[in-house]
Amino acid sequence: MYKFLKTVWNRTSYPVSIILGFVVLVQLAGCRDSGTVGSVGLPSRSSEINTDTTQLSDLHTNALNAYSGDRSYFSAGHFQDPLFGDIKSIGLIKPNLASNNGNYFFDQKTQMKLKLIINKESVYGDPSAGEKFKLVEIAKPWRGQSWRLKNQVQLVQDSVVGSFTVTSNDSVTVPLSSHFVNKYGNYFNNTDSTRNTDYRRNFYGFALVPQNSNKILAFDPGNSYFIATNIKVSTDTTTQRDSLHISPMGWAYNLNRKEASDSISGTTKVYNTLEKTLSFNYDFSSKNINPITLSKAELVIYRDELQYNNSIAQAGSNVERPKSGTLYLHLANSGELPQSIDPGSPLISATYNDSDKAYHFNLTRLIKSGSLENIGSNMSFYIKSGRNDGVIRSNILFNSNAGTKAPKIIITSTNNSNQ
Amino acid sequence: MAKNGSVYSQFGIGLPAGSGSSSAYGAGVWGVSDVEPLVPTLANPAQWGYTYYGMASGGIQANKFRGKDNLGTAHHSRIDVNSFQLQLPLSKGKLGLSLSFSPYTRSSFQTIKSGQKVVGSATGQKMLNFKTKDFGTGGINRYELGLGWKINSHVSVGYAASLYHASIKNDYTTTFADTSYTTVNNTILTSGAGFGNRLGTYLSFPLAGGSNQLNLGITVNFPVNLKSKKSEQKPYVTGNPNNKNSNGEKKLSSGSIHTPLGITAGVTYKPSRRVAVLAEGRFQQWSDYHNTLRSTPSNVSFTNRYKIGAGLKYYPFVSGSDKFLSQFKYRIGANYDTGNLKINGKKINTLKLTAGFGLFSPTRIRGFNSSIDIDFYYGIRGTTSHNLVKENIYGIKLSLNLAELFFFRPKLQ
Repeated sequence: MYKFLKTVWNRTSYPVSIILGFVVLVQLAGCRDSGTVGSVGLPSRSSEINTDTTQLSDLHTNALNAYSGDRSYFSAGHFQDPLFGDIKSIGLIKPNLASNNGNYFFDQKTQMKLKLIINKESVYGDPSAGEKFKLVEIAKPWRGQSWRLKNQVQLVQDSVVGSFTVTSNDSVTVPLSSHFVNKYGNYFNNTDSTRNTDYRRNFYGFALVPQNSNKILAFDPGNSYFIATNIKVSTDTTTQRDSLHISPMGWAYNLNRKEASDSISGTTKVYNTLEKTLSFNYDFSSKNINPITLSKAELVIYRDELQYNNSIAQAGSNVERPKSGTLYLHLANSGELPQSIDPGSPLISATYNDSDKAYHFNLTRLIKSGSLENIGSNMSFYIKSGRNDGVIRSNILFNSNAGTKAPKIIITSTNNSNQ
Repeated sequence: MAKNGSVYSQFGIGLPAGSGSSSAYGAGVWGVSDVEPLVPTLANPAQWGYTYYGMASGGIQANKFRGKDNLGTAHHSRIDVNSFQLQLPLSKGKLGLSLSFSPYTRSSFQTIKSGQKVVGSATGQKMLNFKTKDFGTGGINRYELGLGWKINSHVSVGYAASLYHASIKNDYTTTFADTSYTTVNNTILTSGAGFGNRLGTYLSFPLAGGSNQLNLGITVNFPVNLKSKKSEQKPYVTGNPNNKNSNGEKKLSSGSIHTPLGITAGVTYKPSRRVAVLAEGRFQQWSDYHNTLRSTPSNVSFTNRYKIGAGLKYYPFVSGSDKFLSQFKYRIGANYDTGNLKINGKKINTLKLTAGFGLFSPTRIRGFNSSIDIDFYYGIRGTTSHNLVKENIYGIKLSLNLAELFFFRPKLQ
């Protein structure tokens, strides 16, 4: 028995010992680490946090003539803003040519109205004051998609299609003149194959021309429509009357702004209409900023809140401006403006922070991902104030001459190289 | 998988790692004064003159650290490849050669440090709270080639030339309480190389007419200057095919690391062939250490290190007994290490108790002489006073000693 055990031991002791040794090793090393000690008493290494602040010294102002048709809204009205100038906007709208299977006829009994929906959140001026408009026929062809903000509207003199006044209401229904209805009816009744082409080429719609200067309104074309009533419907046996809802075919607005004065030194006025945008150049590449140790890269732009608020109070206690909202940062080729930034694809946006009266662009992700590497020499960064959605929004920002409130780039990074 | 070692290994180039003979580790010493002919040794170059067989050894060890400070406890554990050595006879029992890789220092730790920074602008300032996690690994490894010459039965000498290679990686993770700040991960790498020299002498004297034996050994490990550099990851931006940066290292600074003079000496008394009593000590002039690439915190200093150890070996198999318990080699010992660190005015001492056993290959009966050494140890390092950390260290070391390489097998079998 003893000899047997000894033989077994002689044959198995080596692998058994190795296996047992390994088992103990793995048991010891396989335990999960838990906790840390010495974080107070031992002089462990802590990262150095470096904050580098650079003022943007080459902030430029750009004046662009942006497209203003077929946006979410179109503006019309007149308001004298003490800070942002005398702003007059004429709206343009044109009905679709409703389809006709040959049974519908506009005749002397047919009437048309325009129902306009107003965006009450975007009143520029005194919301309760009445703003009068005349609807005047347009003399020249135009297309919403190609209409620009500074284009001049050619009107048919004395051809007033209708008129209305907006006080605090959120919609208005305007009867249209029989002259306009007859003119539209001629195209509607036409069943030739050139019906649609003729209409597009020769029927120009009408303009909403403000008659006083209490406010500028933003109309919602998506929910506005024309109504044609008392349309004659004839079949082989009967004759009836029916009505049609006709959506707008195109809409746009123009804007004429006379700024009250130049910006006070240290500030720049910017508009979502791109009448004024900001641009600058800066090297955000890894040659200038180490993306590995970067924790936060921020572009901070301060708003002149005091001037913004004081000036609106000066205009009247009830006066409002559409909120200037968000700033957008674009990277664009200067030769492809304005379409490259309007709408374009903004790199990032910044909402207004009321606590420090500033907009903060967080550029960290862009720098770390390499999106700002190898930027061509013809590319610049553009800052747009709010979306160009047809509502007129104005803003005033501190510029490079504003001392401590000048726009700045703040880079926060860690440093462990000195340890 | 756990992978952290001693919290004290964060300073300098890591904690000193001693390499010797696996047959002596369990006795709490290196083995500079004791030769075991069938076990390769890194303890003393002079002992390579005793090489009869082509031999190789390698090992791994696992440590478990239970750290405690005035705020709480932490558990860390780590497994390491210990060393590798090839020891060959150029002239059997006269001249031997050793080729080895072994650690000189080891660094393996994880620390978390809180910090604050005032940030802000003209419109207001705020306190930015952050934490830095430093996960450090690496150390200095030694690649060594040497010769040992047994001049006569009493005197042996040896010399080894070595390349020291430093590679210490610190992975920093900085997190911020303010979530608008992104976490930063970056790596700092300290690397360098330098040539070293080691001399050894081994003396062996029979006593009491040859029934007893007294051995003396001493080695001198000369200082080494490592030409070093500190580098960090090169900016590498993913997601942009136009990016011309490449992954790799960006050199931050150049400098040198100076490792200290080390002297190890010991005495072994063998009252019989079965018993050996060993006492050895090591001195390392760490006050002479400097590292131009890494500053030492103001309340940390490097001081001369003294380590003494004593132990007993008991080899019952020599008697030829076939009892089960007589098949093993037994070792027990203890050592005390003053360490090379002084933190907050207090030296970081280590007391370690060791025990182990050796196990011959079952093929030994046919003339093969390989063995396994398994050693266990328990140690206490540091203290909780002076705001320091006391570590309880549990470990196991597994070494495999091959002594039957075919091309050097003895002619008579």
